[in-house]
Amino acid sequence: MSDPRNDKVRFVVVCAFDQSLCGDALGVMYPTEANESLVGLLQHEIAGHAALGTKVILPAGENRSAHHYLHPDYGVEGPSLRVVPRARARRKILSNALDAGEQGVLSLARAARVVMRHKSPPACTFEELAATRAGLTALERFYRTLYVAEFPDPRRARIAREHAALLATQAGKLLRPE
Amino acid sequence: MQRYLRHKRGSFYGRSNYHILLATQGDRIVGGSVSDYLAEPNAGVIEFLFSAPSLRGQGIGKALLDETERVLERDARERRGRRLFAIVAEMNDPLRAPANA
Repeated sequence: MSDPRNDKVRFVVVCAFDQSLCGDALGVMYPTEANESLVGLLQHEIAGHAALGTKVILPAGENRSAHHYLHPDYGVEGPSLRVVPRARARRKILSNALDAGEQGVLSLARAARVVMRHKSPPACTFEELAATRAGLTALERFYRTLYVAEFPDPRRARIAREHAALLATQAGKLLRPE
Repeated sequence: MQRYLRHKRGSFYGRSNYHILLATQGDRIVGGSVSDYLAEPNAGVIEFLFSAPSLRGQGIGKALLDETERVLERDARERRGRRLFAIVAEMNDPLRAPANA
């Protein structure tokens, strides 16, 4: 957010929920109102907090403003309410924390790790990828070496499960010949 | 990500933009970020940003964040003629313990 006091970009921490279920089954709150966009909601919430750099916790509960989600098209509305059963327990934990206010939410957050401040920045170079042969090759390398370690490829996980099931079947036949 | 890069080559994004930034040390890729500049709200979205697990704590993530902010700020100036209004960053699930804890 632009800060007229020091003309720097600052981060405002905003708590929202998406429908990607990325990483876990926490994304359980979906819009109940048509024509409601995440970007609009975030702008509204951020604008309502004059002090920059403060935490902004979007209200949650069963009211209208509780339902935010991130559509792949950046806030354009998508399908309406869809609750994932396996996420209900998490939703209850989260709702209780939200009812307890900001401290309740913060109680769920893991403690910040203390990181040594380094005197000199790391000697990194940065490369912005483009859809060139070299760019796509670098992207493939990044995906294989770093990305899937952080975000496991769901297709590969499925293939691995199917492969394991096939091997188990074959092993069973070896142990119990027909 | 490949598809989005190809979209970027055309006019798919209009005044908005899409970035994949890699941090490298020599030939080694040590981090990466994916971010979007959204022209209408004049805001950036960081979809993810991380560094190699074995190199964490060295400031690579901060350097990558600085660079990501810089390209988003550049988009705002070039495409909207003003400073960036906000950056929204997706964050890890706070209920999940870090993988290397």
